[in-house]
Amino acid sequence: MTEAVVGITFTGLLVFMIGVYLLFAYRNLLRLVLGVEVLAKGVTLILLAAGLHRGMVPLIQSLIVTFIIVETILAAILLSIIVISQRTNGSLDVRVLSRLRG
Amino acid sequence: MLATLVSCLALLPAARVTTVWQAMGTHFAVDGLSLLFLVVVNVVGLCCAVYSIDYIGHYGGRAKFYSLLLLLVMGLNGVVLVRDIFSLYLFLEVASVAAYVLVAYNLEFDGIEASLKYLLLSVVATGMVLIGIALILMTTGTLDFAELKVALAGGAGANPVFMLAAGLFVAGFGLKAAVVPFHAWLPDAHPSAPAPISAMLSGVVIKVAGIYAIVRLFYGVYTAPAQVLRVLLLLGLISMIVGAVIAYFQTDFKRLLAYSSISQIGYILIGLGIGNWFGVVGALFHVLNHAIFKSLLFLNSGAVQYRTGTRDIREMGGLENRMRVTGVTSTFGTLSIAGVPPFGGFFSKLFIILGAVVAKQWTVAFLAVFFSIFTLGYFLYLQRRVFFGKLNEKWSELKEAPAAMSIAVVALAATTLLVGVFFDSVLRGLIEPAARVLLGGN
Amino acid sequence: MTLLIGCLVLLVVAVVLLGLFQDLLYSALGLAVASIMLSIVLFQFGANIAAVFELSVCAGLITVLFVSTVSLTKDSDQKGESRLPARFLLPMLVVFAGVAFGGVTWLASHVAAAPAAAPHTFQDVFWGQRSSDVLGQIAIILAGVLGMLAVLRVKLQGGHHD
Repeated sequence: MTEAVVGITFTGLLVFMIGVYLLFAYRNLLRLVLGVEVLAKGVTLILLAAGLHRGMVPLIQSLIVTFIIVETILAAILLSIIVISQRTNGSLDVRVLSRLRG
Repeated sequence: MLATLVSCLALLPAARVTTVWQAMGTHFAVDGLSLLFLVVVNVVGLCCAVYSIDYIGHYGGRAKFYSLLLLLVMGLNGVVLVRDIFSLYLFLEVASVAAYVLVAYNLEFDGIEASLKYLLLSVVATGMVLIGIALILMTTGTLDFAELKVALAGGAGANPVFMLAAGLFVAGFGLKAAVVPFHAWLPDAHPSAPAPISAMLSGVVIKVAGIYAIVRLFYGVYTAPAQVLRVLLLLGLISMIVGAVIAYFQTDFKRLLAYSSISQIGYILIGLGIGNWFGVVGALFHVLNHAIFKSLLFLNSGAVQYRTGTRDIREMGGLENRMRVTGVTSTFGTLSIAGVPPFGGFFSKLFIILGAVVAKQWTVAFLAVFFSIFTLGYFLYLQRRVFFGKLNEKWSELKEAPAAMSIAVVALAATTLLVGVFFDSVLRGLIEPAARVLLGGN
Repeated sequence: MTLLIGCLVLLVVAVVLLGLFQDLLYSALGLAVASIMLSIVLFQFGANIAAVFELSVCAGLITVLFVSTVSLTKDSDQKGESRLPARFLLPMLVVFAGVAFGGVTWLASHVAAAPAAAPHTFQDVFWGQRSSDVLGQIAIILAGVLGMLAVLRVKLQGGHHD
């Protein structure tokens, strides 16, 4: 692996883990969207590293474009569910949402 | 009128199954395994669409509901038709986006929370799957199932990076299948959704998104390495035991069904983990059977809830006197899930247990038999509390469920009986071609 | 190379900072900065179209959606959201960096050098080889739009059975 690929993979893994941490560390629902987005940035970096290593930039580019669309749709759906959740419960606190338990 | 039009549209994917057997273009292809799952998806999808004609009235937004249901079915059909691991992920995401919204469709507290939980856990799961995909791309430079299989067979399979990717896939798709350490979202999402969606989720989505992906990758691409099979067997045993034990303590009709789904997914994984001919055939047959009887039971729980307005089984009793169709079809579902002879569930569990015996896994065989009896026990208890016995006077005014709902459950109940009676031809027509894809030859 | 390292470092810094900001609007800005850095990285390696997508969709559209949701929900309870105290963040980061470093070193020792791939253009790959993905994208966009319409629909009054 070249130095660039190593650097990008390292950053991708780091950003992915920070994203997972953000998902579980906060109790404001809107923060969860940030967690999802950060996680997606990490995944994009790792995909890019894989494509660079194989020298398949056009392929990985089309995968990344697809993934960006998926990530946007997920964020939009998550945001609209959060809006409706706040309308129903009057709060954005995750702890309000702990009545159902596994 | 709109509803009839849209349900005709729902027929289209169901009708396509019987006509298109060969490859459709270069990017989609049908083989025995895909065909089995296509049949499962479209039979259950059609019954849920018919059932929803009456059921969805009180939620409003009928056109949106049917469009999303069709997109869910389309996503699942896409998952079983593609021949490429990234496309599999993409269609999985199509089905999941529709499922997130449909779980929250009643716009009430439970549904919204369950939907958020489902979405967030799924995002982490698909993130892991994508990292696995990137690792595979990095080592082999291809994403196509057939090319990957060649690359893995040609020596690259010894690379530990593939085992890491396999671990990521087990965790990611295991979460989608609600295997026990990753099951936290299922008992919330399945009961909170509208009944036809619970039936779709429990009957089809966890199987296509979880089991199909696991089977396609670990049998189709990895050619069943022993370590992965051991992990699947272990996860299956844990799921079977934990799901059944927790289900026993539930008082909520749909929650009980949801935990029993976890337990039955455990059976399927046990069959796959044993990995011999009987085990795999039994697991695939159980996919078909479980899809039919579990969606039947969920639709019946929806009918009961539609009429009584409650899901608490302690408040029910003697409902069979007032809801004859629902009561009788539930008995069919119960007998099938418990593995009583003339019904489909008996044969699939028999095959799984035979597989364990042939593989000389005596503990597994014993546990599978024991928990089969345990399942019979708690489902008979459910049946007795809800449908049999003296009529609770609170429900003396109760009426049978509306016509479309009854048609759907009668169709599913007839299917579960027919699959059991004609199990030989079902086995030869559907299951064995699928198993041959997985095990190759014999 | 310097540009690449600079972008990657800034990306990580932006991601960490957006977790620390109290105000959600600053966090949204942090996310936008992270997206811009990512799109520069993509651009550097010739993934031009993906870079444009990242810039316009992620840095632009998602930030707009996010900010409008923040103003739509007007929540008073925005202070003190961190469940874990901020002092845990540094040890967490060190652990994460360690795991990521270990992972990359392990990966580098097991991934062989790749042979040169056959040359394709983006158009070939996107519209030719991966046309099933285009179908999937159309489906997911439909699902997203219908889903938002369904979630934000006016709820039917009366006659509830749940």
